[in-house]
Amino acid sequence: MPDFKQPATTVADQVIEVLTPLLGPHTAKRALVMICKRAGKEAHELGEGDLTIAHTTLRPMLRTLIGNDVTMRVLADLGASETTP
Amino acid sequence: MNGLHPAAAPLLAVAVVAGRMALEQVSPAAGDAWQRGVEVLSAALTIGVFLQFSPGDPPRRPWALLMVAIVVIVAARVAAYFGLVLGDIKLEHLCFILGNTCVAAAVIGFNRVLGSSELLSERTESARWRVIAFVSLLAVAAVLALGWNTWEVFDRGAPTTPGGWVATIATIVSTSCDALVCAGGVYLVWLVRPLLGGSLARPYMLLAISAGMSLVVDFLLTAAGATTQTELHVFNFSATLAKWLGCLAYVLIGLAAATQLWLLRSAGRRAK
Repeated sequence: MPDFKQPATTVADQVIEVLTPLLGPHTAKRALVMICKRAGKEAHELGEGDLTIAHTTLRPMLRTLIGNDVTMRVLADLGASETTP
Repeated sequence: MNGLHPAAAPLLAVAVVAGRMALEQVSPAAGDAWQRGVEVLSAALTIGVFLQFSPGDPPRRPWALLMVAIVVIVAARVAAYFGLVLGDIKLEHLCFILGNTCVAAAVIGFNRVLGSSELLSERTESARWRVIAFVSLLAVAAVLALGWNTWEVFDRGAPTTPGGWVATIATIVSTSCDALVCAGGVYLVWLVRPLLGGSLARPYMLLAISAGMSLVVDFLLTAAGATTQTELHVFNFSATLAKWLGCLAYVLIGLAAATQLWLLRSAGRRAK
């Protein structure tokens, strides 16, 4: 489980900041937990290099909820690298 | 900004229903015309949402079904206005059977799409029990609705003409679909509860409340001996309440579509 009590890294903060208005605080944190699990890291350990993992983790889940185009825009806000739709 | 202000939807809904109430003081026809306008606007907004999704996007199909349902209901109002019939079967009733079926299919579709997202489906033992409890409630609600409705319909005498049978079937289909949609709405609320606080939850919450309103309207219509709102020609409290709640149900669908449309157009466009 990621440690939310420690000061979050930029990437973890970014994930929460971008996803909370759309998914709400609970699901945004859940999304961060899933990214951490996939990356095998704690939230505060996530760095710029993990943005691709964030992208591949979030993309199918967000696409189910909001469609492909909006998902790509949200992921662009996250700073994640673009992949072929 | 990913959506309308949370207070906007309830305030607009109250304002639109108040508009209908005020116009009814001028003339009942003016109140009905106001609601027809709301229905057309709701149909336009669902078309807007449908067009925002690309082919292959999972939410596109349920939104398409909802769009078809509202457009068909608008067509039913037009058919009723011009008194269009096939033999002695009112075209309005055929449209209502199709429209209600599409709404039910749309709600099932929303539940399937949202339930399939890994973000929302925490597949725990307690969650499974809640789903089982929900399905049981759904079955009880559908049986009660159908039983009460069938009793009411046949209490007035069995239909003797094809048109009478279609009207009866339209009433039963409408109530059973609305019972299904209402129970589906409850499930939808359960599914999107982790999204509370986010703009994505709002359209589905509004749809769920609208589903509840529609079911109440159906029971009131059956009690008044009418199949659709346009057939209400008495002006007692029950009939008036059916019209107000019917107006609210359509406003909520329109607001759900508007909220979704706003979200789809604005999400992921963060100010840099």
